[in-house]
Amino acid sequence: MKKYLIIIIALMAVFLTGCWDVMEINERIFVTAVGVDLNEDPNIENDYLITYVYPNIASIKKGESQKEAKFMKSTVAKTPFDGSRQLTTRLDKPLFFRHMKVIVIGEELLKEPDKIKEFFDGLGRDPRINRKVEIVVAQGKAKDVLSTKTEQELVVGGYLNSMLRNKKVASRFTAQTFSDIMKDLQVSNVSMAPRTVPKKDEFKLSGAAIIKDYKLIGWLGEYENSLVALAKGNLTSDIIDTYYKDTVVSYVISNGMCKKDVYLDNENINVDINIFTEGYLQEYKYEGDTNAFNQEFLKTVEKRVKNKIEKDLEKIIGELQNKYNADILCIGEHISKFEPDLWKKVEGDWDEIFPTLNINVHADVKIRRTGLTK
Amino acid sequence: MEEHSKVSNGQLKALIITTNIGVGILSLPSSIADIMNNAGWIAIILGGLATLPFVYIMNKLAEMYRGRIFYEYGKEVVGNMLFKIFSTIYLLYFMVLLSFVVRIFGEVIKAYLLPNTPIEVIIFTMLLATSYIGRGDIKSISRMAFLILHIIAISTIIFVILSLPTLDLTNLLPAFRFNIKDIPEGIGTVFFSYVGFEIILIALAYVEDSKSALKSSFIGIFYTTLIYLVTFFITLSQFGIHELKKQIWPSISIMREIELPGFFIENLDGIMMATWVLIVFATMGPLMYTGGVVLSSLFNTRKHNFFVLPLIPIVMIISLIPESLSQVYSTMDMMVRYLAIFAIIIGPIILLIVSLLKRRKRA
Amino acid sequence: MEKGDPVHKKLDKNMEKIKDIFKNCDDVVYRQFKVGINQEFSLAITYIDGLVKSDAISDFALKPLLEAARKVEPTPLTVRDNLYGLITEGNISISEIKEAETIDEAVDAVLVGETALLIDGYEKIVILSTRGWEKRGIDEPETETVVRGPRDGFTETLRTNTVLIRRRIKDPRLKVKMVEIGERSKTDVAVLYIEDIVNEKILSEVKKRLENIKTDGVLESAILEELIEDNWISPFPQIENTERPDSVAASLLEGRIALIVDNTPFVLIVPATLGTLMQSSEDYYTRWTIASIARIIRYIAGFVAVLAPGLYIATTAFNPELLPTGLAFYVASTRINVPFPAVIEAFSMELTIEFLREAGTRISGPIGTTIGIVGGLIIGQAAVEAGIVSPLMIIIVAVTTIASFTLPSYEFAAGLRFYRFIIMILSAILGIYGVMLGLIVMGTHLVRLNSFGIPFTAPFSGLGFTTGDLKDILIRAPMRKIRNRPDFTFPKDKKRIR
Repeated sequence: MKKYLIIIIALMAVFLTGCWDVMEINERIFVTAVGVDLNEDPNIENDYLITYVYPNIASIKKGESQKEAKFMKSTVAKTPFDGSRQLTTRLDKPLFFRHMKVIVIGEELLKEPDKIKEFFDGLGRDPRINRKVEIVVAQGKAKDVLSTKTEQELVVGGYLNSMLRNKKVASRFTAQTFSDIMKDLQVSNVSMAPRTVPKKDEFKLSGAAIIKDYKLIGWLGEYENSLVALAKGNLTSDIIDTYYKDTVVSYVISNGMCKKDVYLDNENINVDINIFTEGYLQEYKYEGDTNAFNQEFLKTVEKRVKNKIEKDLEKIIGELQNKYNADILCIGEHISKFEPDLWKKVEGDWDEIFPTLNINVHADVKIRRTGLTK
Repeated sequence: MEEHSKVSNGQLKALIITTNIGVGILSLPSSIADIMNNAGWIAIILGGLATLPFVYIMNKLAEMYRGRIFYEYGKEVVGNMLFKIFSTIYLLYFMVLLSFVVRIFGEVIKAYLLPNTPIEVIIFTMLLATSYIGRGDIKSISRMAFLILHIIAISTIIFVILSLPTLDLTNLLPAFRFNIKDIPEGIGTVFFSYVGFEIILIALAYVEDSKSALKSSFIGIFYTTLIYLVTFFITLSQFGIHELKKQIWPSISIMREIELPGFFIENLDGIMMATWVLIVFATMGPLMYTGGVVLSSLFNTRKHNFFVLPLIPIVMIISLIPESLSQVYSTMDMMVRYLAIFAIIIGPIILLIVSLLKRRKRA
Repeated sequence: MEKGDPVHKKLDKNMEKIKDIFKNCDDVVYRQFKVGINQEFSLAITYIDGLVKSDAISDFALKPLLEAARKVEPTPLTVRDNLYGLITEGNISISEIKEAETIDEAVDAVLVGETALLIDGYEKIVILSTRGWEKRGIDEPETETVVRGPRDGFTETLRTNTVLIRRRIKDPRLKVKMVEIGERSKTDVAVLYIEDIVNEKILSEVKKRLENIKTDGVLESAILEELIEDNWISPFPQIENTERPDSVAASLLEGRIALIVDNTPFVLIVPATLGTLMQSSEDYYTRWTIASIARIIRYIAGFVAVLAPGLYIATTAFNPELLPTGLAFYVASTRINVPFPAVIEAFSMELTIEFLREAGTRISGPIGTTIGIVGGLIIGQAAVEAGIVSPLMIIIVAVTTIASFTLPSYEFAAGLRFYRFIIMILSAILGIYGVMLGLIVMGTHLVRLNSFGIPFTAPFSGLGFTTGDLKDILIRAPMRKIRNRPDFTFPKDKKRIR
């Protein structure tokens, strides 16, 4: 009996002094968004300007919704992960990153590939950061984006996060998580990230930043983004306007699919991007006896839309190939998977080969419904 | 009641599967992807097949010496002295294997769940908890294996279903490109994730239905292979080949990728970690038990439970020797492999050959 | 004079001995009287007041003796034999008569409520069966009520209890074997089993264990339980107990053995497994879909009862990343101004619930219910409003307590309670890893338990799993689908007749 007692006391002495990891839940700061900028103030030595956004927990309590919904703190730091240590001088509680949802990267920072490489490597390595954080590029400073006040602020992820997840209505931007970006960068050195544009009292999420070799090389506009999304098969829904006898006809894509085909033709590599869309007619200026419900009308509109898609997409692709030399459409990835022998040959010179690819777009547009009226 | 001091077929299968799937499952997808890229699944299947002959040998030995465990009849076959040397090597093998497993376990827990808790505490408490079942007998261990197997099976199915929406099956391609020269290295890596089934050296003595024991053993290996394949495919589809190679423990990182729309199911890695603690426990329990049994056969005692507790400090010390995780995966891994070659391959083969020769001499 | 002495011829000597043994027992009654035409034969009766049916004695023993024996012819030699024969075979209209040859036997008989009839000049004592005492009527068992089903429950009289079983299984193969346990209490224990179903090995094990008991007294079946259990240290019961005769009858039909202990309405059923402890007789009296859902809910409740407070501590104090974001923020907000850390909160609330529980068992009736309401609602509410405890904690503690009450076996829930505390302590030190450690230890313990050699965790751990025992354990399959008796009883006759 005494033996057991001694063992138990010994164990208790060891363990009860511990509880090494205890930290009350209300004593943590749950960071929901982080902004990383290049420090442009020449007086301060440190390179990064980090902004942390965290919600005001007290405002979640019932009946206390008048208080500020979120707080923001900025600090300069030598490395992005140093920032949280810097803030220990100013904050009373430790920062907690597991619920972080969004990382905003400032435009200037994205022009420094070494720093970005460091940053991304750290993100992947840290066990405390979820790989599913959304990455967004700010046209301007990330701090500005994060400090804009929005009217209805959801504490839980923040405005930005909710926007990013709200992909259902339009594809003006394609949300990318950290793991998506890493994946793209690994395969073809190129990736996209949604762009935010801070304005006075709000910010826009539109278009994308083109990242190549961990560096920002250009922007993609909203419309271009939706077409690229269509070509990648990511489109959920968007509107395409075209003309029919001087009036604008709006066609909404409700379902878009895309198949790529790569084949060799002598020495040239040809890529066929076959797009298939289904949709419905949104709007048409009602004109006397024109009937939007009849087949001929629909077929004409379909053809117009098809031409528009093909033309616009080919224009974008041309830009991508020649101006940016960025394989955002993941053609390289496709080849590596479906034509691995070909990929082995071209992998090393992909940068040179990509602009020479012969990319054709074929769209097949179908209008399935015209709404409730004819 | 003596009917179920026996191990049933289902329990035998469960024992093999749960003891096998230990810490190997965490790093297996990444290590095999390093060697063979997308075609790693081929190595997984071949590795599973490669274990079958040794399972067969162990079954054959158990058949010849029905009702007696390996560490007992071994003395008869090769002589007391020589077998004592064998047993010592086996003992060393189990101790190093245990240290390896518990060290990795501690590192994972520290990385994901308890960053500030000293790793000694994590290792010590796990060893203590495992010793409780190590002091039991083979009945309890097989019952526990059966229970845990079903828990693991259900969790695996749930995880697979939950990850289906975010899977990108095209990441599996190209699935058939591989270099023939890489295959032996691949099989080598995979083979040591199958380590653990040597528990049957003891369990086969207590099986209630000896005729289908061989079949059950094979089925056990089959299911292990299946689970490894599924893990490999899921991690590969989620991460893509490049990221997969970079992860140390892809099977856990995968859990963070799962998210269902509507936010509610987030951060499932907590549940995965909980299941994984059970998996490691199911691997370590039989190992502690076997360690105790080997010691008891070395010292000729009837019961083994006395020896299990002293194993704890020894295993703990060994597990703390490597200074960093990478050292664990290189040095300790090497040691485990060499010892495993002896334990799984050389030991049983020698015993089988000698037994067959003796038989022939007698007849 | 020792008790083992044979009966003396002389009545006076015998009476002296008996009175000596029963010295200071003022509830023993002695009545001497004379019968015979000339009132020359002395008879005496001895009984314990209150243990006998007094009209049995007066109407069925004394009356015939006093009346008829008068008519015996007074021939010295034959009259003795005649008298004895007359008395035993002729006159007394009591149905059960035995003969005692030692004072010892007579004393034991008197102690169980039989009457000793001493005849002068005879070396035997007639024992008349006159048992009858105050007893509780058959009533619905308080601990196990059902919505639909029989409402008779066992009482403290062994014979009544065996009758309740006999009425349900009218098969001569239902055997009732009487055993006496306890040196001083000499408690009657009846072992019931159905001969051609029960497994011989288990039966002989039961008998062996009963024989090996050395104790003063067995006052309740729980004491017997502890004395014959496989593992008396464990917090979990390995023997089932019930107040319901229909449960016992059903278990007998499964091939199990019932032990009825005198003076308690709780009957033991052996062997027991985790699955059987989670079964309730009501499952068979409601429709199978609802019963199946109820059973599954019980298992979930079991887990909740063990894990909930531990998980709360683990997720709030250690790893909030396990919670979805919204929930984590909400929990944090509820805990903002709470002065105590989550660990202390959890422990103090659990302690309070235990106080309430104990208080509730002491006091029954209207005061008891009031205390439950007062305690639960008001204290909890006040604590939350005072800001000492977060509302989430109250909810968790309340749900845990209710969950543990859904389990049919009170003892098993008590075992879970024990482990709940262990898991709470472990989670306070090591977070969710501690919870898992606690579960591992509990699981190991359960897996190592045996009930008379049968694995306690059958059929979950292998025995009976493949033969489909789960369909009567995890859910309640329709009657027609349950064709076999469960594996864990190793019955001789596997097939039920359906």
